[in-house]
Amino acid sequence: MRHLLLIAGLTLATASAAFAQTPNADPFPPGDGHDKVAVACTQCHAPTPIVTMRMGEAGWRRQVEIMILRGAQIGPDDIDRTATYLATVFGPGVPLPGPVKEVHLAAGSGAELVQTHCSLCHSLERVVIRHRPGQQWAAIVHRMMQFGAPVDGTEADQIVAYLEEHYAAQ
Amino acid sequence: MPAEASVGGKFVKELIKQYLDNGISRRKLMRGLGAAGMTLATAKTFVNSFTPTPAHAAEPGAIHPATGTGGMLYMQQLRAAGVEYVFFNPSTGDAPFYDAAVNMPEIQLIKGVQEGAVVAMADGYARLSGKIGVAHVANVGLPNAMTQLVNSWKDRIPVLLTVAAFGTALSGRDGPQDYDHQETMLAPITKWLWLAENAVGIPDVLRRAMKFATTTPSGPVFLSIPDDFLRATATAEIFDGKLFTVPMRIRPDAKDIEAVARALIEAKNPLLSAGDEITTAQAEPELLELATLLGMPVTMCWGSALNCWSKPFPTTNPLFIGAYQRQMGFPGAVDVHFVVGDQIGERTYNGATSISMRSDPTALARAWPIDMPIVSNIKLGLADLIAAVKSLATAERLKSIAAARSARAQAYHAAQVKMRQTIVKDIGNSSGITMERLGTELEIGLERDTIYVSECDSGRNMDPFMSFGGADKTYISTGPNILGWAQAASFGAKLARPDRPVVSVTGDGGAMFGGPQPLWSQARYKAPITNLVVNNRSYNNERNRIWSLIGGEQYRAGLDMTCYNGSPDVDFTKAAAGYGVEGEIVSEPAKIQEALARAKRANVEGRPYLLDIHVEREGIGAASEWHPPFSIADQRTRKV
Ligand code: HEC
Ligand code: HEC
Ligand SMILES: Cc1ncc(C[n+]2csc(CCOP(=O)(O)OP(=O)(O)O)c2C)c(N)n1
Ligand SMILES: [Mg+2]
Repeated sequence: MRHLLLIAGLTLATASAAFAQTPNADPFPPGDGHDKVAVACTQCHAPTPIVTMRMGEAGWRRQVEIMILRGAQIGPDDIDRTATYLATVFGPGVPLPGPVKEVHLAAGSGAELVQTHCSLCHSLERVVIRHRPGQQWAAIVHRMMQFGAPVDGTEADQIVAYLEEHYAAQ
Repeated sequence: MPAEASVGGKFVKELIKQYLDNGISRRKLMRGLGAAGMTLATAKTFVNSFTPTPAHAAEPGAIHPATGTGGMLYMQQLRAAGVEYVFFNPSTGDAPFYDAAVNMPEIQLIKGVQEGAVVAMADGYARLSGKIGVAHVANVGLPNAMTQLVNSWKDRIPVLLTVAAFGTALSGRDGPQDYDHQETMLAPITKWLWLAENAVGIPDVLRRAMKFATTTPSGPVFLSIPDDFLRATATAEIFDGKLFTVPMRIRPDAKDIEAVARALIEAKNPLLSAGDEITTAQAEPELLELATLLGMPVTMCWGSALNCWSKPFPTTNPLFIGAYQRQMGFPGAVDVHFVVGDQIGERTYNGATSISMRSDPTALARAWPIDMPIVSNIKLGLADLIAAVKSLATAERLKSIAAARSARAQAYHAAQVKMRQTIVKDIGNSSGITMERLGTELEIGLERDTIYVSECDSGRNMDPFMSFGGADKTYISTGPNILGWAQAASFGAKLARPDRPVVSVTGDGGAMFGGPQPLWSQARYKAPITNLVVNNRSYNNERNRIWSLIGGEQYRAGLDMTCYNGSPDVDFTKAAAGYGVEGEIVSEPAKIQEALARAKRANVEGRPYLLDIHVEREGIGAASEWHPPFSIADQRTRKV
């Protein structure tokens, strides 16, 4: 709950002039939808969770919907534009800040698919940093497709099979 | 002084009895004590110890004498104050309280099996009844009670918490269970606390405690009574509740109200933010009338509910525009922001003149500077404001102002409704239960007049799909969201309002903080409540916040160090069954209505019910089931 209060604190704190952070450093790249996001998405928390996330249009749309339920002021006429904007400026392939560690995947059928498709929104390191129980790989890959991972059903099956074989937790 | 004349001596006892029976006057009593050898000063102090002076002006019968143990005097004073229920969990030292209850049919004892639950039951009762909630717990269990008392404290709920302390002969000697100055632990979370000084003073100290608890701004109070005083016999005066009910019908200054009325009429783009003091003052009708009269858009707390414990404005009203934020696309550039009864603190709106009406003067203008602070009973203040608005502008003018303003608010409200329909459509083919789907199903399945007692964190995402306020469901939560409250508070709510359907709503996390102990009381006292456990097998939103808003190291490492709850995978229906409450697991969206219907049937027949609703995790890391694989069994070198 401490964290929650912190968010509440931020809400209040941002209302005070004393909080005014380097106003020139706009974390949101220009584009159609910028102005909406810059205001509607910074009322309750810092831009950090937004600018460090990468998703396709469907993924962002879902995230924006959840935030609307929390209170974000994105109307029905703006939701598509907002999702498109976010998927453009923070979409698959847009590099994340910071260094990327090189990862050598275990050799095997499917490794190439993982290499190309699973490094679009986060590092490969993020994918294989943990071995996971078999079931979980299917759930995760399914989830990545919802976020906008550009893989079809057959490719997904291959990826799951590869990860289950090489990165399964005992 | 002869023994006869000493405090407790026969002659003095007789004199006091005559005095308390209204046989002799105070002056005669003083003379008698003087004759018995007491100095005037001693006699005065002595008489004052059992005589609250101003109360003597009260009508006959409002004060009556009683003789009995301290415990008996305590219960008699509660009864005289109109208390009907005492929530409790006993320990040995409390015996005189409960002995007194044997012959006191006016007070029903309600047992809770953990002190947190006891306090949350009293708190829920107070929120729904508008009366004081009374809780007695074992002094050794006091820290358990304190967690839930924080909810009462932050939300200004009148709760009286009492313990029997160690006897005066023993305390301070570091005996088992004894630690020094226990009562001071309560200082930061009570309006007032006291350690009783003697048996004869118990009713009077209780009178003061209740006065503090119930006088606006209300709040919890704590009273510690050494157990020897509870056992000792004394004759003391018992005070009728009306002698310490302080009306607080404080009306604002007429000039101030006129200034506010003018500001609201002349504003180009006003915004009204509604808070919990409206609920406490039962000023919902006045709020609605004022907002309608001036066509003002209304917000409530941000994040749907966080930080507020009630929803005083009907969420289906076209003037309701959702969560407050300091800068909003709609209504845009607000010039006058009128904050009414917001307990959490005034909200500021970028660039707007701020007006805040509060019944709590100490909290007013505390969070932020306020341009126009107004102290007032909220109901009376709003009524005065309505009258002032009507006197300053013709009905015609008001109509045209309201029409212009409300047209925009209505359009915005309608767009939000449409937005939610779009969202439901987007998740329509999900095979699991999403929060949006659950909200939609509850809106269909729950009775319209349900009292909805929620502490579900993910629930903030389903609340917008339901109607609250006005003739719709009554929403009750806690501002600070200190978990372990809802199942117990729903019991208090049902006790206060037995003729309304009541549901409790917790997450799996919340249900384990507070449950299943409150279910014991629900089963014991046949409380027909539907308990919903929104089970995502995670501290879901805590994980979202930990992974995304702060730090992010766990996200980077792929390790959910803290939030996954699914191992062991708790079966809340089995836990409920163990406590005598029937229930079932619901895991398919299409089965929700049938399950709600079975819960309703059980409630109709007078039984509580529990639905363990398996919902999807949502947000960052939702797919993660990893948790630290630590095993004590593996640490052993001997298989014992
Ligand atoms: C009304 C307050 C509010 C507004 C406005 C808001 N958010 Fe959030 N956001 C939250 C909260 C609260 C969380 C933490 C997650 C939780 O508690 O469920 C969060 C978390 C997030 C996360 C982290 C991932 C997650 O699910 O936890 C992202 C990304 C995010 N918000 C994006 C946005 C975007 C994009 C917008 C604008 C459309 C926005 N937020 C506007 C309240 C808000
Ligand atoms: C369209 C963007 C996108 C693509 C492409 C993508 N991911 Fe992700 N991935 C995300 C996001 C966003 C998160 C963080 C949110 C979450 O954990 O749910 C994430 C998190 C993860 C995690 C961490 C989950 C956890 O619980 O710790 C794993 C593992 C993962 N992705 C694997 C994959 C794999 C395998 C692929 C290739 C099939 C892939 N990702 C492709 C967006 C993507
Ligand atoms: C007594 C208490 N301890 C800890 C917390 C911190 N906390 C806030 S939310 C949360 C997890 C709640 O989980 P759950 O009830 O399952 O809600 P979900 O987010 O999964 O819907 C915790 C532990 C708290 N609010 N209260
Ligand atoms: Mg949960």
